Amino acid sequence: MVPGRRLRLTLAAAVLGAAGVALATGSAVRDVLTVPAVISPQSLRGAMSGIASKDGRALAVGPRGIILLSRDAGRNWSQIVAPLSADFTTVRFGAGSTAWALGHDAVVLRSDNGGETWSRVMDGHALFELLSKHYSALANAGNEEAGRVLRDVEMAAEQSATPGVLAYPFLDINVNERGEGFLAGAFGLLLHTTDGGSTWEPWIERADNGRRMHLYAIEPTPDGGVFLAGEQGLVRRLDRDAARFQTVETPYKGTYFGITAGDSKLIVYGLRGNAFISRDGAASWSSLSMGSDASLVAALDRGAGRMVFVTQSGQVLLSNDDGASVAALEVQRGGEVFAAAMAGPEELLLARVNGVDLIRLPLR
Amino acid sequence: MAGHSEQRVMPVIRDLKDFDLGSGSVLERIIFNNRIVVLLACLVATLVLGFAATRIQVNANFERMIPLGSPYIKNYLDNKSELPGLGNTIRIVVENKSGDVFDPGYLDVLKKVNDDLYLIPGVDRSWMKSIWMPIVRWREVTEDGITGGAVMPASFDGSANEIAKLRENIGKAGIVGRLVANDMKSSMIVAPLLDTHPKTGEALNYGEFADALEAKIRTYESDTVGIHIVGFAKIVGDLIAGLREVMVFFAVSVVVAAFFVYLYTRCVRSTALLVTVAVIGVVWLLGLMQLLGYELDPYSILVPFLIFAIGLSHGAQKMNGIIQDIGRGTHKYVASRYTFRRLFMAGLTALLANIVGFAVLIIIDIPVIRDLALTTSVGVSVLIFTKLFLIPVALSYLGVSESAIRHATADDMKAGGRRSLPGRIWHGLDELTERRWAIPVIAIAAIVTVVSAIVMQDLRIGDLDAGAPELRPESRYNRDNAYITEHYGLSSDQFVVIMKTGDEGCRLYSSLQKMDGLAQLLRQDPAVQTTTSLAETVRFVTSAMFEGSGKWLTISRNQSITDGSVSAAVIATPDITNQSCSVSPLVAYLKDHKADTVGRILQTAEAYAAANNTAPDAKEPVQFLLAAGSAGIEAATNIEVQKSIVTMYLAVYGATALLCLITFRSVRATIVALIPLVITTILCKALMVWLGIGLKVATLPVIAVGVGVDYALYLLSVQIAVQRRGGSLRDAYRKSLDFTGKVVALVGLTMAAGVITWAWSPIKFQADMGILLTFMFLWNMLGALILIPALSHFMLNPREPSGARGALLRAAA
Repeated sequence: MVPGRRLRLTLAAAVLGAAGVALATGSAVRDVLTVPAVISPQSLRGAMSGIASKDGRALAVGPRGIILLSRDAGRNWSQIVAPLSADFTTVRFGAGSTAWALGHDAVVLRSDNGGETWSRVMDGHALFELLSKHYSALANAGNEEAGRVLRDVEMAAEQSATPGVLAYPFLDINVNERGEGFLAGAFGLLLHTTDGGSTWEPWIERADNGRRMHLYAIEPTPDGGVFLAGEQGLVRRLDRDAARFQTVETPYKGTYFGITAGDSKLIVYGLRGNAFISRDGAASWSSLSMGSDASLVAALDRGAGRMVFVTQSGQVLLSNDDGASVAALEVQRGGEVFAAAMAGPEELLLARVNGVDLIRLPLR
Repeated sequence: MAGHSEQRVMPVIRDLKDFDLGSGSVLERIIFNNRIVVLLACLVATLVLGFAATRIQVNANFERMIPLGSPYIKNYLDNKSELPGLGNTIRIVVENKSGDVFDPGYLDVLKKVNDDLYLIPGVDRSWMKSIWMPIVRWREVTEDGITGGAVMPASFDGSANEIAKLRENIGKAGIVGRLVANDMKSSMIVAPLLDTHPKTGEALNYGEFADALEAKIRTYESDTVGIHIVGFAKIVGDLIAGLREVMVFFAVSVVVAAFFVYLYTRCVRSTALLVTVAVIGVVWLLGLMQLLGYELDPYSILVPFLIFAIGLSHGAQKMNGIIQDIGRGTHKYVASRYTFRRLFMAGLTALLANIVGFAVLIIIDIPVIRDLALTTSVGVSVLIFTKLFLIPVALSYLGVSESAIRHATADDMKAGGRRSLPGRIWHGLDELTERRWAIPVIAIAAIVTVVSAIVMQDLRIGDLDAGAPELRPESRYNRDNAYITEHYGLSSDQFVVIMKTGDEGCRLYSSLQKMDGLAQLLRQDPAVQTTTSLAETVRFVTSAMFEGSGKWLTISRNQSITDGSVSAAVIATPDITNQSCSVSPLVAYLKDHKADTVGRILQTAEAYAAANNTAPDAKEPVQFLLAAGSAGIEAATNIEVQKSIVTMYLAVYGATALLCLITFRSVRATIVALIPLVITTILCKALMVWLGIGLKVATLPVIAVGVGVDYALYLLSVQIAVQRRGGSLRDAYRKSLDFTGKVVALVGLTMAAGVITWAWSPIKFQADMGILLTFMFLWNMLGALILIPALSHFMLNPREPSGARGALLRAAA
């Protein structure tokens, strides 16, 4: 008798027993934050809400805890086990082989091996505790703004179907090589880290966002700045000295889904084909004509003034002059597109409502 | 039958005055001494029941074809009224055969079809959808929220400009694949139906509704415009139309069966009498059915055919006796009484055997089969009167023609002679009782049975053809259905799981998550094309409420967000849950409705329900109830059919065996009678495999019907009687053949003639029933004629006077 083997068997029996209890007592136990995602070939054809690529790897995420990984820059995909089955919104590669997957119920998963395995950094329980503790301490110290945030948090907790779990989604993350970064989400959620994401400090009140607009995107600039873009024309720029984000005025009051920073340019884009470019550090903006009414989900920089714009209805618009003029690429019709990423100089990845798509772009 | 064993002395009486009116049984005296009264009573009964028969309703009620006792079906019926969107909708696709939907001429026709349908009583006008209906709207996310409008521009005038606007709106409305075909060559009008006629307040008559569709909508079909109509009401309408057609077949059956009877009697007068009396039996039956509250449906319409055939063949047998007596010179009145005396008990036993054979079907918990069992039993009971009383009395007045008597006596004289090949075979049948013939016959039967038993393992449960399995694959309905499935992408095989919650419980995050989990689980199955449910809709609505962003394809744990999404979903698709938000369907669209497929889906859903259902008194109760939808009901029915088949065999064979035991008082004889039946059952199942007929509600009663046993009853009772008087087996079988063999052949042929016409029925399952019944009737007859002598050689052949024969006699004592 091998003792190790016996232990494993006992363990398996215990797990089975626990599962039996969970099944018998029904639903209360089955929560998307505890039930791992279902692994199934169907996942490859499911809706994908976020996509990212780095160094020949690509990741896509979607509702119901689906994480897909490609080790050959988007040609072949396989589903990766996620420890939960919440609805993902966004996936990002970070420094080194770090990757982040964000989702509803304030889910943050982290991978340190390029997306092969994932562990939980944050979820609705942890966020509620973090925010309650942080803001009640501040409020008790007499900080009025913190008091307002605390009331918002408590209201959000009351609306949650599960006591003590915040439901709101995180929508974007950016953590740089030095370990400093931000985590942004719906209803003004904003957290700051200086240790590579091990601990987070709430910054909700530091974004000049009293109306708690959704923050859809975080974009670092080559010169070390950080921009936020979000609901109802929101654009914010990090003021490091004040440790706050300051308002940037733009000509549009509709929602921005993203912001792209390149060498001496900033492009914000969003609803109904609206996109604006600034070449003077966000002081003045001019409109880019996309010739489309559909929402823009991505503006990807291929360098040297070459841009790729992708609309939600699936149009791929190419430009050689930073978006001043665009030409639609002939693309086979498919489902709606929710996110896009470059997987190489010529390869465009689309996250569609019915799976992932790889499109070859002309070099010129 | 037992009567044969006690052949009483019946002297030839030429003059009526020599006949003792006081002889015979009490019943015989009552009937034959009051012939006028009997005839008048029959006349009155025919008039009264005939009047009732004219008022019998023709209908096709789907609920009567499903096993009401099944817990799955109970769930469906309990919640049916809360699920208006399931099934009771008519879909009309108007196709442009020479272009696409963006053609002013086409749009004009579509508008006319739309407006005509709108006016047909029974259409729920408030929920009718098409690109011409203002409730079909496009939506668009703008900075100010969601804007939208009717898909058809209000100012539409057919100009290129307006058509461009329509094209754009159709794109924005997301109705391609739903109201507009994927290939843009057709568009659909979806009309939910009301339960009641809006003017009369009575239940909507689907037959009338379907007729109106044919008269007012189908007529738009032309070289350029195609009309395709599908929907529950249309299936019912087509079934009723099919029934009317089948009623015409009855006339054909009458002619064919009458022809066989004429060949047998060679007497126009008596053939006419027999056919008339058999038809009277049917009239009585229909009248009684009407009075008892039965309708003629696709199943019960079988009964008049069977009753006619049974009545006719048994009447002919009666005729046989009378002809023989009259041929010997007996007065027709006396001959009638003799025949009554001789055959009353035998006839009664045979009819009771038939009643038992049908009545045991009552144990099957499917209303149409129960009705079939009951009405057939009523019908056979009617035959006791028409056949046992009316025919002898009528014959006592009419007598038979000289030609019939000559034919019968000529036949008798030629009995031993050499004639044509069929004649030689017929007269050589008794050789089968000899060892050299019995062994090969039994060996062949054994081989055929073994092969069939192997083949029958592949017998499928349920239906395989796409579309409405009730109708033929090449029927107009199924061609329309195939067109729509092909161009609109969703199959008509829907498996529905009902989520039942407390009032307003469908809004709860926990309920929606569970529903979403089940939908996801079902979609894992390769046979599931897609699923639709409130849970999945909530994801898309939530996304729409957050400016269409794909990052909000979620069921939010934030209850106020989810509440808003559910409300918006209900406004957009009212049938996605019921009024009180407590009964919500989850629809899985299946690639096919094979029994394996629906069975597997059923199991998956049931396991999920078992793991996730809460107690009914939980704080947030959620129950997943199976099953509704065409495929769900099919699954439940398949289970019931599979369960029933064993019960059915036990009951039918048990009843038949009991009947044989009572009649023969011999276990061995009972075995000889049953073996051909068992072989027929096995062959029939193999035949079903070869012909691609599945085991289903329609074929279940057929393969279990115990009608065939009366052949054995006729043959064996005479044979055993002769043997008990000391005759050899071969002599006994020869006598049995001479006395009843022809009747057996006649019964088989007329019964087969009665049902063979069904093979041409436009209703698929009736055609299947017709083919199988014909096979059963003919094969049982052949099996009885060929196998009974061969089996008797081994089972009922006393080689030593003290051995088996002694046992036989002891058993009889």
